Amino acid sequence: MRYLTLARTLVYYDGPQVVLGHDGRGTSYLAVGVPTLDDGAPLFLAVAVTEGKLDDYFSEVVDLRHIFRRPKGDRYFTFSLEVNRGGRFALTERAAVDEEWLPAAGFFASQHTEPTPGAGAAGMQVTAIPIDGRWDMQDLATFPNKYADAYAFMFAVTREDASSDVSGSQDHFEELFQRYPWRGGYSTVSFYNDLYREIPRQQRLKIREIRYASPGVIRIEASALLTDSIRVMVLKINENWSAIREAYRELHSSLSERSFLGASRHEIEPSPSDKAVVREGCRVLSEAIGFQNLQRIYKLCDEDWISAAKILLSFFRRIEELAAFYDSGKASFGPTSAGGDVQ
Amino acid sequence: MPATHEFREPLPSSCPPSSALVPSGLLVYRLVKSSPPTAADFASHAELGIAPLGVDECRARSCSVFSSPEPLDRMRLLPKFRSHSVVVRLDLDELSGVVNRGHKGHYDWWVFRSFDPCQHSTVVREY
Repeated sequence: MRYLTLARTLVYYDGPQVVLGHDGRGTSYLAVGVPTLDDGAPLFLAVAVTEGKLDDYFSEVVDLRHIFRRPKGDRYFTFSLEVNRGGRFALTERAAVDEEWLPAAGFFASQHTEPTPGAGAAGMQVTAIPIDGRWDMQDLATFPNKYADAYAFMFAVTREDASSDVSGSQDHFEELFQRYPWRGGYSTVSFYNDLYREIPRQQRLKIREIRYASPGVIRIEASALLTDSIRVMVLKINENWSAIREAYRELHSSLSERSFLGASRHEIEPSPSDKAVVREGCRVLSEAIGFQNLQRIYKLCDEDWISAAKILLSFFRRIEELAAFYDSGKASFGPTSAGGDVQ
Repeated sequence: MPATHEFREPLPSSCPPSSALVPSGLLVYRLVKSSPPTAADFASHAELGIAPLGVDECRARSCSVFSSPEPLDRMRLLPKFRSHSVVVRLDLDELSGVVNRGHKGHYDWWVFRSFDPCQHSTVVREY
């Protein structure tokens, strides 16, 4: 017999309606109140859910119906809040579940009526990004993608003084920076995707609104510090584009001429003068764009200037592409407001 | 609180919580089954005898309302509320009870004995 311990109520309406719990093995369950013939003691339909799917649900990647249509182990259980043993509720397995017991499509975690512990991370704000002109599908894909890449990168390189809520993540960032061979190619895309996944859910970029019009707006909830860093770099790039592009070309050439670009760190043996040239190129580019965390990249790369340079170049390409949206007038800097529970 | 305003249900000690407020012109919305609503549409789980042991008894003696009707559209996506096809609006004041504001516009409402929610409800939507 499995028993469920309730962790917390997610939706309350006259009583608990959606709850989160776990069994004795630590498996998480989501449960939803279901109608009964006599409207008697509340009965719940429960399904086991993997931690990844639970994260998807709380991140609003999937809705509640998805969780119940695809339960872990394809098993359904019921329990009554009336029947408990020392605070644990006996789960009764059901062979089949009627459609009327499943949530309808469109119920997402943002509809929870009970506050989530740790939600509304400190330092988050809502930033309006006014948009104008003609945006095609590629623009709507590229802008958020480059913004997310820049955001994830800045999150990683500013975590030196991370608080306890990301303890352990710093080792993951080091591992990520040193995992890839940096020979160019698709591994760069994987790197930024992996960086983004390391950001705690509450501190990830969230889109609050997209209103496509001329003018329109994209409203995002994000770390105030990180969005401000991105803003500063975008401004610098657009104000001094020629000189910055030259600094990029210089650094890129210093790697290309030495055949460092297509080789991993284990395949090259840079001389002290190679390292000095590359280090100086990194310094010049970083200063030009207002990037203040070069030493952090160097440390995360296990003090390898060649890898640090490649990573800096990849970051620059992304933020330069982001800056182009602002330079063209398609995007601009708008007002900010406090984040958290934004309607 | 004036002595004449008793709550319609016996409440445990420290209930309503100290954060509860006396409403003044607070428009709230509730999902009910009947049009027009009946007393059962405003009964708490405790009053209906379905509040399980261990659930917060103070909240179990309250009635859930929202400060806007939009969350109720979403609440109807849950299986328990698919049959609740009516949204009513009430204008709460010092004669109706006390409320405790929760998250996302949800309020717990402890109703006064002298207040009849049915009489003060306006049906604003029928699904």
